[in-house]
Amino acid sequence: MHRGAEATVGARTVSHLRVSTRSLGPFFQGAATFLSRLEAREALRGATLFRLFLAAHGHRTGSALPEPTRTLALPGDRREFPPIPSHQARPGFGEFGAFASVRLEAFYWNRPGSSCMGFLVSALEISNLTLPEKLQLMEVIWADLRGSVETFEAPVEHRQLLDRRRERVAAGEAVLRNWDSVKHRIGRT
Amino acid sequence: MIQILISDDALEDLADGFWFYEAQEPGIGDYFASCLRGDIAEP
Repeated sequence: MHRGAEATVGARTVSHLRVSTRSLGPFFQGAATFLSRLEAREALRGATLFRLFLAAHGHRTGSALPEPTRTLALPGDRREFPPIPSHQARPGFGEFGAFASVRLEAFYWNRPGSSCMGFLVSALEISNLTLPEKLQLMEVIWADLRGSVETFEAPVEHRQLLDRRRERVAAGEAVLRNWDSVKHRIGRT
Repeated sequence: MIQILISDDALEDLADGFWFYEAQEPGIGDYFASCLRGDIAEP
């Protein structure tokens, strides 16, 4: 927590993500829209202003992307906040190739006398999002889950389904196809 | 180069996913398929 002259400034790390560099543009746009709505609503309450910092540290086979660090600040409060320490930016995803490490951090500023509010999104707020915003949110969650995929244990029913499908292939009841030959026909046949 | 094989059953799942998203809004199904291709190509 950082103590401001006239307000309490807090920082909450929302998520550390790995995002495909191809989807960084839409990701930033979606996050900006989502947080703009959140900020507008809170401004109406006269309580809290949000700023969102997204720092993308790209690594493509070890070298930085054209924009190695990109920071997005939402409109509203323009005061300077402490820079994101480089040691927290989780660089070093070079082994993943075209992925970027993204730190999504919401700074909130509680005006004197206002109630403190964390960064929580309720089911109702999600239902009020537009479809593109929901998709962006799903991507954020999915990217976050990807980071823990190595420790994720598939549910028993999923493993059983995979076992049954392997048996169907072994019995000649289902065919394995080359992904490259079918990947452009998804939903088209 | 890794050769990726996909079963007919899994392909049907992906087609179901495509039409689920396409029913939400035209074009989203293609977006879903595009994301799939991108993720599988760049694991």
